[in-house]
Amino acid sequence: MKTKLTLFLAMIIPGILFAQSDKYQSAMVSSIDQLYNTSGVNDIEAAVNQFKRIGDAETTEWEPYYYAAFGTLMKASKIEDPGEKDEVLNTAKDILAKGKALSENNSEILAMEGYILMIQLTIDAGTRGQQLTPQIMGLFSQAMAIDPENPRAILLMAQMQMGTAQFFGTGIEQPCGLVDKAVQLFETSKPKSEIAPAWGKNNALAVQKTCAAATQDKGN
Amino acid sequence: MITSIRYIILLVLISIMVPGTLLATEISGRVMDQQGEPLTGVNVYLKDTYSGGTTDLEGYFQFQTDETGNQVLILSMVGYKTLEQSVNLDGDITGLSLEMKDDINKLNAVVISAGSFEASDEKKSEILKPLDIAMTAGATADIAGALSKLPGTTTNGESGRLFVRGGTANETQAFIDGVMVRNFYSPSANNMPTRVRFSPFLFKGTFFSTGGYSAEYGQGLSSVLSLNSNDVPPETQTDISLMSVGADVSHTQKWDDGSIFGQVQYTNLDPYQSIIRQEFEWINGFTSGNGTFMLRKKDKNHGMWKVYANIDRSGFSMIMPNIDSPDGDRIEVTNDNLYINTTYKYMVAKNTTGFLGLSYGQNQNDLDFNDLGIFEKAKSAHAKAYLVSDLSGFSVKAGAEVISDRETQSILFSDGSNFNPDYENHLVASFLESDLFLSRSITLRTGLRYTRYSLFNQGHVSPRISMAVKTGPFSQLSAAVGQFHQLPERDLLLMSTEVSPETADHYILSWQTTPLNRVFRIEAYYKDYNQLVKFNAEAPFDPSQYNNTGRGYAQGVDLFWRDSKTFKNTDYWVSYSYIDTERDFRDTPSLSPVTFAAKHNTSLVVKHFVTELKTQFGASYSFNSGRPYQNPNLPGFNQARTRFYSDLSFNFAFLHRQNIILYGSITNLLGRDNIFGYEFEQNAGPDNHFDSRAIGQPAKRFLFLGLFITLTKNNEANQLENL
Repeated sequence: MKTKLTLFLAMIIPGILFAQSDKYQSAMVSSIDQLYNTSGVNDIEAAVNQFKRIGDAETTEWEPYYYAAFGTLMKASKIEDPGEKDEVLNTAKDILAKGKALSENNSEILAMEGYILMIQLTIDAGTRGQQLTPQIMGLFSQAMAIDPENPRAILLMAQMQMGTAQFFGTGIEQPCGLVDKAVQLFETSKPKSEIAPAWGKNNALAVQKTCAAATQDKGN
Repeated sequence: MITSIRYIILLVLISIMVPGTLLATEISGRVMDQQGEPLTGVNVYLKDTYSGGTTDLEGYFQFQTDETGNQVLILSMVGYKTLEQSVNLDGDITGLSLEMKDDINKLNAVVISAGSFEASDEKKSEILKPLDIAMTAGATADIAGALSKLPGTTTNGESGRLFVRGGTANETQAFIDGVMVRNFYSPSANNMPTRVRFSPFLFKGTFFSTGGYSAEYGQGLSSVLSLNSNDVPPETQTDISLMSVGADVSHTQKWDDGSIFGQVQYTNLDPYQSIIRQEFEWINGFTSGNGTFMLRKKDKNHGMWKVYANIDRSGFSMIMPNIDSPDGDRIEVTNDNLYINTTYKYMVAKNTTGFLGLSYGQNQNDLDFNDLGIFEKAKSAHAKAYLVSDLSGFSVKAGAEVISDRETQSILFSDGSNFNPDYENHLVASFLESDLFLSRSITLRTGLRYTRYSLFNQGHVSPRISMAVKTGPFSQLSAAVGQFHQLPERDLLLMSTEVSPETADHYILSWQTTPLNRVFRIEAYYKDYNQLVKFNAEAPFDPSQYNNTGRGYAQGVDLFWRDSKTFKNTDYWVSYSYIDTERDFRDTPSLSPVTFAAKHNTSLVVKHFVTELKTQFGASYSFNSGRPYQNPNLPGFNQARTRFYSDLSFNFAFLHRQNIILYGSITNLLGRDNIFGYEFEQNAGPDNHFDSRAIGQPAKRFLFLGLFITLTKNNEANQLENL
């Protein structure tokens, strides 16, 4: 009887545990899928809300907040009014901070933080550039230092450097080199898990094209 | 054995069933706001579960859940109070009708804009940007110069100070980080323009009120100018500036939670004035040596501790023309100034912030005027503390402050006799102010300030009320009414024990709209001055006969239009002020126009960035219709008007590289001979005519060239790391 009880427990506990983490995984996978495949503000909002629910229910996972922040950033990019855009980006920062509290020195979170600031910079580059540029560059290089293979951190750093290079009329060879490296990493490296951040490849390819065009212009 | 297998199969089935494949329950309904409008994007969910949905454009939500029994349904959205409601999930719940209440706080409430101009990188819908102060053409990076391109001000070219809505320069009180600065301007001679002592680059935010300001501030009859110093900088850096009038070097050392900043500055106008023709005869041009120290430290209580210290020695000597003396007046000034300011702002509790501030200023003037020697020493201290609680629906600020001033003067006459006036005053004030967010579109601010002066042994209560009502998605109507009072000017306090504080009542009505990248504001005001210091007409030079029976008024309309959208890479603003003001004060025989306000004042400021040249070009044009002056050859008082004032200025900033900026500016490009007033002979000539001398500009134009270099370790590190 004792063995039967042990057997019972041995069967049911992992079942429940597995089911629990499986529930998390599958909810995350479907939400991530939803986030990547929607474009309407309200659909993005729905996905963000789903991530917030998962995050609040789980309490130890950083990914739900990471994606909720990313979704909020996507929403902000669709807003034209600078004041409103800024407010939504501030919300994104607040949400990401919850994830940051759960996972320190996380390359993906730091890159996302820099990304949000980068969009805030573009709202009023003239006024904010001086203060934000070093802060953003700092976040990206920190993200790259923690995980030199994080293609998103590399891509964002490249985009940031391209912005400054174009403004100051210096060459874009160096950031373009970074873009190539990011593209290569997007192609070779596999995400650490099903729910690990995997976005950015299309952006990288698009930037790579810009780089190619710029080099060709120079050639002609 | 067979039982075991059956048992296992059963268990497997159970374990598959456990995670929940029970029949789902449906929850649906609609969410509205207090006004009955549907809310979109509300997160509706069951507490501690994944189950939930988001409201659509019509406010409807619908979701399924496997949860059962009693659960808590949560509705959450930014800007609204989170709503929690118990639900029983034994059956479907459909057709729920829920209402969310506004959660209005400082962050999303209407900000009262009457009378104020704010430049900050944090606030929404700002009218000014931090860089505007430094980059306005014609101002040559002088804070007062830039602000005098805003409506409500009159340019007084022979003074360089701020004159707001018919007020004297003394009626604008300056603050750094909320604490008072008594000696805001560099020393200058009479009729010689001065500059603000403090560099605009050290401040991230500027709050400039042209009237109706908060009960937190006092001692400004017309206006308050509050500067917020920079927070912890993003990185360690060294800055070098080489300028046509001097040089400075500064270094910022940053660590995780703080920074220190040190700067030394040397200014000498001699070389410049020897090349560019000056209207006055300079013996030694303006020279100044100056050191600044700043410390910033963050702590665990979300606190920020700031220290600002500035020590400065400056001086000049010159011959100032005088209509009564062909040789002119010889003036020699040496000024020593020390200013220390420290503030600590921290989280006392959730939603409550505490502030402690302390400043000490010491200003010493050693002045020789022909054979007269004047030595002045002024000390002032300000201690201030307040608490702010930001709650849902309202915000309250309560605080107290002590301001102490002591000034001594020694006037040494050529015959060896001397005169040593002095005064000392301790002012104790307390203030209470509440912002009531009546709805998402109405904010009501009521404030009360109580002040007691030791010098007069009398207390004053000044009530202030202001309100803003949103009239559209980008527009608001706001109004402010308040009482303000101030110690009389130092010169009067030194000479007379008979004077008491002067008062002004403000009435302001303002409408503004801020659509995307544009601002339009129209503001009308009336200012009622009372208890102004007046001299006895029979004995105007007898301080013992000074009294507070003077009065006056100022009324007008200000217009402001800013647009950074219409023209690509171009940002411009236009301001216009109509000022109608008269006073019966000091030596005026009756209600008369004042010399420091012009009727029509207008400015145009343009900034245009040329990407190909990596250069920002700026231009400004200022005009006023001329200021009153007293002509003793005509009947009446302050009855004459100067010619109109006009100034066209340019500047450019070329960004050679991210860290190297070349800056140049020229004022009054057209070389107009502006006249600010006239000085008349003391005694009329034989034909009973008083001759005059025009008070004009110290030079036709002012040229400035500077090279600003920033050296950072991080920038290079960043570049290297990515090669």
